[in-house]
Amino acid sequence: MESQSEHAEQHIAPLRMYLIIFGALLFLTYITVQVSVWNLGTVGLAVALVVAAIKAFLVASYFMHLKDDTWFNIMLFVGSIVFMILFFGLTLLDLGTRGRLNIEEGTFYYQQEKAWSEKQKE
Amino acid sequence: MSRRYPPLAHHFLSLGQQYSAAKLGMWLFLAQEVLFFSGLFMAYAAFRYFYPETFLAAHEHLNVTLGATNTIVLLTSSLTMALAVRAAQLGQNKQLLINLALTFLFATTFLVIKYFEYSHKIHLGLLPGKFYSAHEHIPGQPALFFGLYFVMTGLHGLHVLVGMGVIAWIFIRGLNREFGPEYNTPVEIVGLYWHLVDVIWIFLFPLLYLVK
Repeated sequence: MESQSEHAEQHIAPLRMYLIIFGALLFLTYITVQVSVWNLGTVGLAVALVVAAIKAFLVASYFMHLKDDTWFNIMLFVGSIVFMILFFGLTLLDLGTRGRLNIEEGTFYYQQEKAWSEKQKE
Repeated sequence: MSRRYPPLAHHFLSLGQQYSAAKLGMWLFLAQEVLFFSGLFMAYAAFRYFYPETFLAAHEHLNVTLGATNTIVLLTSSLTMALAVRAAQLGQNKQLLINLALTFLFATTFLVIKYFEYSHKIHLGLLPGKFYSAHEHIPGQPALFFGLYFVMTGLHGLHVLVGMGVIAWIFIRGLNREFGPEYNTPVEIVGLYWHLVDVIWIFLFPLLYLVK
């Protein structure tokens, strides 16, 4: 009987590796909670997101064995994250710059030009 | 007709091909899950951008201790799930069953804690949309924040519930000694799903409970 490992290599990681990753995840959780207590504002949000990304990376690479997986499966998952970032980036770009466009008063640049010419008149 | 072990579907050439196809399918599903949840995270980002003061004030009504406890519970369940997959790969059936039972238990704990959180919010009237009836003054649009809170954690909770269902399914198959070094694809696939549920919570916890 042929085993599946003859074709697609299944990686059996040592027990110690799982415990180390678990310890790291707990430590990072502690850090996130601790940083939120310090009240750092925007920096705090950035730290929380970076720590969450590191935790997600650890879970995906070690618990989900993505680091030993085929390049195609890695590409699939990384691809979904790339498209997620694209989705966030473009939407936030729109939200962040929407105030610059006013249909009744023209574009942001037009308004600036008008304000500048009014200043020149004074 | 007796069932062949390890089970090989007739449209696959070998167990290796069947294994790779199953894993590819699961990763495709998980990629879809990432994009599906990113829609909700985007809604969160947009409303937080519009009403930062609401988010700052409203998150004070979430219990950080319970949220952090649930994070640890879910991380531990991820560890036991990973150990269950390892036990299946090594052919340790007893270890597999113990770890699956522990994972199921942690998932139940997560939902019980979530139940207490939800009933407390419902009691205070901290609810989405027109159901919002809290007396506390929260500036801006608190109903929006609690809408996001209930939809995001609710959908995540639904994933936990589905996860418990599939864990119970492979537990029963494990009782029949169906998994071993030659065949353990279902355990690994369920493991992948369970870890993704954990990853989603890793982002939900700081964004909802630790807004600062």
